[in-house]
Amino acid sequence: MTGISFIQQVSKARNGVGAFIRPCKKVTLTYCNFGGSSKGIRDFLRLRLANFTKQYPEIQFQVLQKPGFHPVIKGEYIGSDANVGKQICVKNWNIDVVENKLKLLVNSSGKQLKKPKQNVKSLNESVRGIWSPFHVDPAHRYKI
Amino acid sequence: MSASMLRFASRRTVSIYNSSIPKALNTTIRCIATSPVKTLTETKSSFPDHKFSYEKACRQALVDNTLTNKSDTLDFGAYQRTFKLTISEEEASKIPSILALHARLNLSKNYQYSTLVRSLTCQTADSDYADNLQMSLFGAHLLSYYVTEHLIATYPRLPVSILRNATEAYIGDYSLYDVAKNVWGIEADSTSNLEKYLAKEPRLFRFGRLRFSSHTTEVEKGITKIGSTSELAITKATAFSNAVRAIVSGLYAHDGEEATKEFIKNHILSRKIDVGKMFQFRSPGKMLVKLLKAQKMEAPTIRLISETGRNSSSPVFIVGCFSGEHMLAEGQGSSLKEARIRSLVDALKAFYLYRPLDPKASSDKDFKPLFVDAGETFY
Repeated sequence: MTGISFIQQVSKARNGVGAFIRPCKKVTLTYCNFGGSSKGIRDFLRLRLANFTKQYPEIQFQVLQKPGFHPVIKGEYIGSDANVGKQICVKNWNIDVVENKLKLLVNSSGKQLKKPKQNVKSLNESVRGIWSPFHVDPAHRYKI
Repeated sequence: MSASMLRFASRRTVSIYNSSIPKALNTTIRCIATSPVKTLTETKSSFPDHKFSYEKACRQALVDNTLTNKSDTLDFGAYQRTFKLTISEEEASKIPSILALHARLNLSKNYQYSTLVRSLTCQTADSDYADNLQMSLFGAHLLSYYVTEHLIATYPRLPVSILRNATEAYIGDYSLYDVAKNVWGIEADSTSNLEKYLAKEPRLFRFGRLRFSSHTTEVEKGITKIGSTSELAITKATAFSNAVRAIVSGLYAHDGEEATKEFIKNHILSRKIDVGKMFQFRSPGKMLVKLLKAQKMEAPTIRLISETGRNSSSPVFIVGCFSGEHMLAEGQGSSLKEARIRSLVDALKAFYLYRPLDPKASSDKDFKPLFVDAGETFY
């Protein structure tokens, strides 16, 4: 239209408004077949892995044998590179701790933990707007 | 995926398809009354029309000689392309990333894994596998239909240029690239065959990633070669967005129209755009005068409401834009001119961004036609 030109935009994601997609996309579990530090994760793989993976069909689970190393679980997340994910070493930990650590990876957003500077963070502008001294009745205005 | 739906997705078929739902689609571009004399006298603009990426996606040329329709050339639904190789459902269900993507998008059981594989395969010169060309073409039309419909229902007075721009903001290449990569977690197949061999990855797994011939190739680490000899090379953003379009069209084929609409609403229309910030008025004063005249309202006057520090380094003026007794908008600025222009722009936006309460699109079940106004009478 004449008189109006446009400014291009790209829509911004609001995960959870409409559809929710879990940010965790892949979990890799490495273990050693005979090392003592891998006992907990070996128990987990044997007893609980099948049930655990059924709960999260949207995540790829990869199990790797790494002889001679401590067991590590790694999470990969959507929107970040594969080598930026989160890793937790689970050496000497028992089956329950391993499961809790896996849940931690699965429920994480993949972002680095940081202290928020503001209590509310929003894409939307404030509905109320900023308070303006100019819209107060002149009789009640602050006078120097 | 049913073969008939895929055949539907050929280029000409889509236009036929549109004509079967003409009312809604034709309203996507608001009809401007033009006299026959004007078309005779009008000289062609020297600048070509700006095409948005979603519009280009709807008008892809089908560079393929295999497109055939043996029986009747006018039966557009019967056009078919033949592929030498396809990934079967059994093979596709062995690819972990496809299974994960299927679950992540919460697709129904009707949606076949092999359709997802096909959606992630772009047309390349050296591949004989079934590609997503027609699917993405059909998906582009589906997306543009539902998104424009939503925008027209929500903002019935939006000017055409802003409407197209808002549609582009939802379903342009960059937006859909963000959807595919940063929300759905689709990965591009960037590793070489050697790397795949060393990682002991089964050959089948590459079909779980997005495969396309790129404009740029990484020759070695840190060196990127720009430019490709292949005619079928597309940009990364186009490849990812075509995958999204293809997945949407697959949904239409497997689950039907309602499911597609719901899917687009959940994944595309739920994203955030700010239509108010898309406007850029060249001369808001003149436009407002015209607009008010067309609406049979009094010409605008700007009146000072409040001010402070006129002679200081940081003055503030609050002005109102009035038509007769009605205040249309308010503007604030550090000079009278700035405040005046802000108030004019706000007055125009207040008109164009009119939004009915509880907007309903024409494909909604409880849709009732709504008369907003007679349209733009002065252009």
